[in-house]
Amino acid sequence: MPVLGDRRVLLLLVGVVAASVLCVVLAATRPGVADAGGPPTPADADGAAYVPADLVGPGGGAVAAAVEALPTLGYDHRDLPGSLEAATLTMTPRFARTFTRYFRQSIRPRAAQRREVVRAVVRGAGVVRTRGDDRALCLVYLDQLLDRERGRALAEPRLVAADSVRVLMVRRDGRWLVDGVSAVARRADP
Amino acid sequence: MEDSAPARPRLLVGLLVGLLVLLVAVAGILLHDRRSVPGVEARRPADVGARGWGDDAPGRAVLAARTAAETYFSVDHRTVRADMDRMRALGTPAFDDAYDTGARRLAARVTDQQLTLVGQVPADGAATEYLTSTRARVLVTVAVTTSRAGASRTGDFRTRIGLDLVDGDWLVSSFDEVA
Repeated sequence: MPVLGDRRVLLLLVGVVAASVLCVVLAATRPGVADAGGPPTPADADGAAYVPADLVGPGGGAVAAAVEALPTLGYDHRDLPGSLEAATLTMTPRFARTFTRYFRQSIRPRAAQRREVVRAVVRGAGVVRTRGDDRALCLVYLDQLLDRERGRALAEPRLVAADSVRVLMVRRDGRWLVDGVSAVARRADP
Repeated sequence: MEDSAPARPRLLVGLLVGLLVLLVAVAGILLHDRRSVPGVEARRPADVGARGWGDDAPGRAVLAARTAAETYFSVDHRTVRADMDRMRALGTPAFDDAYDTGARRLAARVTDQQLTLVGQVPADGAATEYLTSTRARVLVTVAVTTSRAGASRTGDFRTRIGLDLVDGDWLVSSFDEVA
């Protein structure tokens, strides 16, 4: 490379490399990028799931786990035992027993009779409050979309419920589990 | 062929000078950005219980969002203008502009049909979705009771409220229904 013997070229190359390094360092340590967690990303029509924000404290872990767990509340009439198992794996044993009773009494007969496939989609999630490092109450916006009815796929998923639910999360052996799900009641705060 | 040999280093020098100028300009923009934008840090969300919340920035963000949600959905056909002014007082200038656009339609509907809307946040109906030292997003579920000529019905609305911290106050920057 005879051009590198040219002093001007060599100096300019050193300058370009130094300026590049400076730009990379400035961009990587930019306020608002390095210090703050990202905002939530909404679910979209193409099937990309909602991604919760990086919230500081134990509530952040609880919300992330709730967002991962709640889609398992969907069900498929072709594999109802599998649907139930997927849901209860995200729950405490106590709540899994309660949910199993509800599933067998309400969801299973309906799903089997109507040959339904229902998808649960999280549209938003946040922290209401925490108790210590191992208990958190989350608020989750949860849609239920009907994908199949009478065994046939629908041309477009049909929204069958748009709920606001309180989700109680508890941490057991380092893992956040669902300990209760209930609709937000129409009773104002005192 | 004899002229192309000295032309090549000149071209290279020109390219390098251009690249260097570009990189210096980018570095300058990044430095200016660093000085003009205050540091943004993630914050721990408020622990909002049924009994209330702390008087700190995270707690005030949730309180501001709850107030905004109830104000947004509380409109009386007899006081519609004042009701909407109360909402405008809670927003950033950019939000108020957007609100005014939709408010005219809402005001006309409320007045024409002689409606009274009252929004109330249920217990555990508000949660912090995102929080930094300067921005917040709060989910607020609102039960809205609509009354007309003695009859009333109540429906739930899921909202996502964006807030900016402006001179120590959380102001509404966006208000979206999560339909």
